[in-house]
Amino acid sequence: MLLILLLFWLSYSDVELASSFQPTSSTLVSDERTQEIFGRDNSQLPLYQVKVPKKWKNQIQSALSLEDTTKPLCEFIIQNNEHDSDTEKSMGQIRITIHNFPSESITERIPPNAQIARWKRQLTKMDPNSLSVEPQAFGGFVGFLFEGTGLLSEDPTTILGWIMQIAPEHYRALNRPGKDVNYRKQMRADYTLKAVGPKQLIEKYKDEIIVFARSFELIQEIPSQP
Amino acid sequence: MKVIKLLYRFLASIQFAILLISSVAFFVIGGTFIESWTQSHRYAAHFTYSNPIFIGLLCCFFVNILFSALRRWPFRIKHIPFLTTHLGLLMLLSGALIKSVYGVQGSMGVMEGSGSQEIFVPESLALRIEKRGSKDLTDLKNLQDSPSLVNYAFLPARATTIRPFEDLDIQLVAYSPHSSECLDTWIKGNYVHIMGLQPFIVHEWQENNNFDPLPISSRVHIAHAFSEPCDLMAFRTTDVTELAKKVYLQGLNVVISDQFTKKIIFQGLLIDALNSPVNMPEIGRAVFELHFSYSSILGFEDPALLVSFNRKGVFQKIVIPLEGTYALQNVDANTLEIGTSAIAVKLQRQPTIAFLQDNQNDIFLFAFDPHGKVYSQSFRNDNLNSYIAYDGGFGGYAVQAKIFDDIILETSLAPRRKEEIPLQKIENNSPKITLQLRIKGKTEFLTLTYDRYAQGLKWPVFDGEYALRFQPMFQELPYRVRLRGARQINYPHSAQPYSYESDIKITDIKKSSSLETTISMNQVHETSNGYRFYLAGIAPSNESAIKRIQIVVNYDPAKYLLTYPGAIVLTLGILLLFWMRPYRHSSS
Repeated sequence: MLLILLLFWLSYSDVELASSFQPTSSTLVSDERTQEIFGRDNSQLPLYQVKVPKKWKNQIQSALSLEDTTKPLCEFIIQNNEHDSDTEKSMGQIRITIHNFPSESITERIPPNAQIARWKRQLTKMDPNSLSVEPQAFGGFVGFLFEGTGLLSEDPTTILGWIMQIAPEHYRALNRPGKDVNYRKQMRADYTLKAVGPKQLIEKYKDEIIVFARSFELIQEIPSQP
Repeated sequence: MKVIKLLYRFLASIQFAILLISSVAFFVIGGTFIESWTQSHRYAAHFTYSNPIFIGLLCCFFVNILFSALRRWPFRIKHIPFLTTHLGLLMLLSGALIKSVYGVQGSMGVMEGSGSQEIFVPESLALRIEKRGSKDLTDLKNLQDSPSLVNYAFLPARATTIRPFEDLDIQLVAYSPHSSECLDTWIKGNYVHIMGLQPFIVHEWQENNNFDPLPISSRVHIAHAFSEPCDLMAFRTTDVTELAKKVYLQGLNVVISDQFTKKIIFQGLLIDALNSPVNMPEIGRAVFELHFSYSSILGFEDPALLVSFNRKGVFQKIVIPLEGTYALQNVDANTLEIGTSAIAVKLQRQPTIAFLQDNQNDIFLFAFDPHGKVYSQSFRNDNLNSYIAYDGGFGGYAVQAKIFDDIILETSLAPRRKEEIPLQKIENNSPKITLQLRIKGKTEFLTLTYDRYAQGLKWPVFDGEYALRFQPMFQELPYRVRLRGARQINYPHSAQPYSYESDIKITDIKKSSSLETTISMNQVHETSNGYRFYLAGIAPSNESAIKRIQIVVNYDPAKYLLTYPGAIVLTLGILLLFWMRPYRHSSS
């Protein structure tokens, strides 16, 4: 009888029952909240959602001011109250901004390399060893993760930035005539997610920022091609 | 009555049980051998597990087990182990039967960012029939609720009529177990078809042909693009690169003029200049080289004309790119400056568009403008880069060539299907069917090849009123699965995969509730009512593009009611056979 029970239990060891799943890095954990973010189309429907650690502060922009794509859709601050042991200076904060760039057609989109080049120019005396550009693909978007360290306003700063474009097949699916034209234009927009802060602080929170960035996604499901 | 009693005794007898066990063993052994000889599971299943005789044997097992238990009536305590084992067997067989009828087993493909609610049943033969005006897939709020004008129907038996829509009747008139399909683009039969132009003939060309000059199939004016008429040529050949170069050189003149005085100092056929250096009093001996640099796989790679000469003791070389941003510019090979040489080299020719088809039926389009600039585009019939679907496929399909950003040529896509000898491995066969369709007194015939993954084109009928595809059967689930992200996890400091994971969101359609979870190679998700989702594959495995996963979905409605309890009851019965007191007494 014990053998039967053991066999029964073993057969369930690989099965995740609906009522007792283990939370993973992709699912909401107790110290996170889901933040909804609106696009630039003045609609009442939120466009994106992202899982944000509760200790991060956030600032959501008013929809009225968002037509200017230089303004971020929203901003998060990671405030660090620790002090550098060598200099006794405050380790500062990390500022995370999210922008999107809607376009009418796929050929209008700005190449990701242009965005990366712009971020490189923002850092003076960039350490070439710190530069890395890695391909990224998640949530239906494809792009790159840029990381570089240099001087920003004379302070050693690291930029950790994602430049993501919706995959061409999804762009076509969202560019067909039909309902919700403005909302779908926002859905197929490129987006950037940029974290800027002191190098040590970025290193400390890098994993958290990466999990945050990879949880960023469209709220509405992208229609699949028939 | 006596006969019935005899029959009943026989059906309940151990002899019948032994006969059944032997027969099943024979089938199973046979199935093993067939599968190993043919490497085809379906082939083996056709003769064994899916065979009606085998299924009949299982039914006979059920009868034998039931009757042998009932023969013990009236039951006593000593019958408990026997009855328990037989009850367990009956539960197992019932569970298997219910699963075969009401169970769900299929695959679902989902792209990152998208979702799906349908699984396809592999190796099933069905028709997808879509009526024009089908659900608005761009209606994001009502993805699940919008009315569907898509129907699926299992392939009917020959001469049987099905009616997937009120006004449409479909009958299967021909079936072939294996076929191949390719999509014809520019060349259909022996003619090139370009929309808006008369079809023109395709010539055969081999190395030993005496075509000199190469035949021109047609000459047309293309609106506003070239000031002169354009030659149209078309060939079938085994050597695309060689022929393309010949076409390029035919009638191509090189004109050399003095950079300062603009006086023409040489004019002649480039092919002659390539064969022997040209002597010009102003610049001496000029050597010409043509780097055509074309391959059918990569296209043109920096094609250029090189002119070398020694003027007043100074060696000079001019490079004239034939493609790209600096096309036709005279670039000094040493200084890389443009237009600084003592001479200016120009090319002149009749503009030409040539279609070359190789022995794989792939088509290579070449265009040469009046100044010698080159353009090429390939159209591979098994891997088209892009195509146009008019009205979502209801208006048919076409391919386009955009030449020099100015000229747009278009031709319709036409499927060409051929019967093939069936393969022993049935799984690799692509059946072909011909359907007779009737609507409001009109009749059309449509031939389709099996689309194994339902990813191909739907073919329109009745002027695009309907579109059909021959594919596996799709079944709707009570759950919608959205893929949020998928990844391959490698061993540390290695490119070897350790695991594959996918973050999904499962929405219960009835309850409108959602759950976010992660499935992986060793982590299956099971819903509360028994639907199991297994991650079967991810492609691509890296971050170069959005990923598509394959999820295998399995549902056994009898698993917890009959199959698992049946196994427990059977095991209990076996144990009781050894441990029950009456049996100990009888053995002692």
